[in-house]
Amino acid sequence: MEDEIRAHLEHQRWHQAFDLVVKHYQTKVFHLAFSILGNREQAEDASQEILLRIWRALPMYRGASALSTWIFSIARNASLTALKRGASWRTVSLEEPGVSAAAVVRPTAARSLGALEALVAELPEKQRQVIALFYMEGKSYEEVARLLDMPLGTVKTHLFRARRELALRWQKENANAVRSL
Amino acid sequence: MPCEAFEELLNGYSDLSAAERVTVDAHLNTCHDCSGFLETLTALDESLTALYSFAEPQRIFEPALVRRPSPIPEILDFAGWAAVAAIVIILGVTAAARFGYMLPLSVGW
Repeated sequence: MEDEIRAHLEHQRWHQAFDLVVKHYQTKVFHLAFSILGNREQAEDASQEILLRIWRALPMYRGASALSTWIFSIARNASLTALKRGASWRTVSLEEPGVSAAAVVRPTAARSLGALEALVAELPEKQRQVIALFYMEGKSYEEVARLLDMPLGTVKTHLFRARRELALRWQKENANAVRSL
Repeated sequence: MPCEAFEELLNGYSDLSAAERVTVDAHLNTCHDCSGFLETLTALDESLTALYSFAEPQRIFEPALVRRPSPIPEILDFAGWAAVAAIVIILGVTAAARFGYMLPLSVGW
């Protein structure tokens, strides 16, 4: 697929190349933006902006790096710019119909997904990004490393620390909830 | 709090080798803190999977909406203007020759 896009680019078939870029990368671009911004609406806005930047930059792509690396680099930079612009990481209920916290959380005091999201929002920036991407990308360490341009070992370390921190806080909150009953 | 020696193993429980699994499971049978921590990690894993399972963009990124204007306006502008200038010069010279505007110069000779 990447070869196909490169072939279009070499022949300056910009529209065909871009159609394939959108088709194959829009979800990953969105995941990356969401992991950095932590908000669906802002991630979708950022993704549109990222795709527009990619479109404008297509003629400048020289093939020095893999196309995916180039695309993810643009996506990361644009998302970080959006984050600095004031779109800070904040928790907004995902309000996904049909997803019930009680259905998936087994501990005694079941936590809502909104509460879990709030715990994630309190993690350090890199841990937040890694944990969100890890679960969005089907628990693939390699994919998280590729998207964040981070060594595999670093991804695993961030993930380990994030899961540990979340588990401990979750246990603590559940204990408090049980005590308050 | 889980036992320090087992914390990392519990965190990566699903990736453990068979030998590691035997060791950890033996410990879990005797340690309430570690078995509770593993249960929390398992539930956490399921909840995080549910939390991020939404993660497909709802809006469709319609290429037609984001691919205007052309990505190469500068390149096309330069090449385009150069081509237009060349055509104008060629047409001008051809027309001048055809309609005799060069004639006064010839007559002068």
